Amino acid sequence: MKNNIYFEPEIETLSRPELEQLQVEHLKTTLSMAAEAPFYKKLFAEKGITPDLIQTIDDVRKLPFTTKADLRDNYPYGFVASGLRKAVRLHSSSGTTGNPTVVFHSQKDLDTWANRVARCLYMVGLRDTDVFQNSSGYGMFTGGLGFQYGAERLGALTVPAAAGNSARQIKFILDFDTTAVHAIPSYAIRLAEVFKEMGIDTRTQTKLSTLIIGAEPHTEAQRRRIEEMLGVKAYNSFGLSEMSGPGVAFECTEQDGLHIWEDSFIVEIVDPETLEPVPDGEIGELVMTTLDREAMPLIRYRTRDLTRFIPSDCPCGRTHRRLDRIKGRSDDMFIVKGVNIFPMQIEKILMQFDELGSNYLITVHTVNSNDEILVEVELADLFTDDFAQIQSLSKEITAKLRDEILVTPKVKLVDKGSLPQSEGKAVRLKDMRDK
Amino acid sequence: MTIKQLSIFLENKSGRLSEILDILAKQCVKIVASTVADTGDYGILRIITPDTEKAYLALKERNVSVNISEVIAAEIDADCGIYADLFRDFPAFQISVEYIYCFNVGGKSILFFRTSNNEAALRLLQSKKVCILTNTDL
Repeated sequence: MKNNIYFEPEIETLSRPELEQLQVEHLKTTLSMAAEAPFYKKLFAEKGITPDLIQTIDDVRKLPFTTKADLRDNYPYGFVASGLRKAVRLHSSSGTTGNPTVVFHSQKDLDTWANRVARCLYMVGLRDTDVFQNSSGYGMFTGGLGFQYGAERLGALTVPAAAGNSARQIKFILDFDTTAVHAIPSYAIRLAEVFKEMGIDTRTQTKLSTLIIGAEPHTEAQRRRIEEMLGVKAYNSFGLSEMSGPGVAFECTEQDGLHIWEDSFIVEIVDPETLEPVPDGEIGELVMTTLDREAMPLIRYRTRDLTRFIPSDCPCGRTHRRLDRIKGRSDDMFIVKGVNIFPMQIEKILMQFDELGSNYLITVHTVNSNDEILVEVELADLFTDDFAQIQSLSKEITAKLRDEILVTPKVKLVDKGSLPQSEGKAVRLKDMRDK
Repeated sequence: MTIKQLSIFLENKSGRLSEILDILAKQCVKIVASTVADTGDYGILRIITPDTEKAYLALKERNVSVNISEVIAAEIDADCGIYADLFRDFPAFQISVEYIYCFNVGGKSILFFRTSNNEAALRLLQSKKVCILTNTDL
């Protein structure tokens, strides 16, 4: 009964030609709807964009890009296509710099979104008998309500635990026999540490079997660590508020790439400099077009997320392509001595050392007119009384980092618990260079 | 016949030593001897105490990176040349001393040190009838 593994078998296994046909039709509808939004109305008029432009899926490249700056500049209502009468909810980014980005949803938009999230959860084995605890921030952040409605759509008992308060999270997990938890990866590790401190063996004393981790870039090593610490399977979730939130792309049980739902989105990966498509399988910036959103369609939205398509078919039978885990954001990239560096490269190396904890901080600063990278990382436990061993650990970390990023950083081991351990998105990079 | 020592990772930042000592003070941990070795970025605080276990747990609970190690504690007369005698034969037995800290009290010197081979060092010192201290002597 292979059908049992799919939430919506007919859509999840649709043949590529049929899927592309569906995309072309929905793109035309989307363009008609988008033309009602003040921003697109003006843009389409200037560029002569009409639905007739679209004959094949490649014609999407004839359309202009939309950027985060466009969303900010047209705050608050410049992208609302359906009129406010149809819009029933909004979500927004934190907006720490300038205007926040706001995304509007009609009831139908919320339904398709919940459905997509339910499809994701079903894909990793959750069913209506599961108890799903959502340890994500609620409110404006999409990870709260997004997973709430998705898990309810699936029929799982959903615990809206929200973020933080580890002792309470653990009480819920024990009391309600929680089987699945959604949390950002740094918080999943925190929970595992608190379980350990409390002397609770999650394998025998809880019903936990699945962790959904996302909203924060993380490495394969970090995932394996979460799985090992908690005795669970951990699945990577990808979403962004501009594309509604969670439920954009999700791993299947193969744990080898995230299926991105191409009935809801047209997905392109482009070179962030030239904006031309990169060859299949190469890293570039993810660009997405909504296909089933009526309150706020977005055309060729530049997500700033760096990833690549995994070029082969997935053994699970789903035809929707797989994205590799997010390699960081094109914004997070920093350039030192002419080399492009992503924090994820540094994290990947640090996670290879058992002697180190999971918190780290990269600071780039100017020393004698030179750019220097300082990597501070927490020691897990003092593993020795021998200075030489600690120093050789420092040296080994430095050498491995240099091999990875091609620049020699200064490595500083710091006390456990001394680096900021954010319960939201952890701050990993500080650029203190003279401007 | 060795003695238990706490080794505590100390990041070099103002107030950190006080924080650690406060944690120990709250538990009424008696510190018999201590030393700080440093490299610039960090140091290791080494402490000898009769309350090793209690101190270790208190520090762990407060997320301090701590390790229990074994060192040799020897009591010698604080007279001319005795210190030199103590280590004289070490090179011949290929034993190297990694660090020493000591204090004098009432005409005696108490030394704490770690060697590349504590077992061999102890055999050698015992053959020379050196007074070796253990945790119960503290």
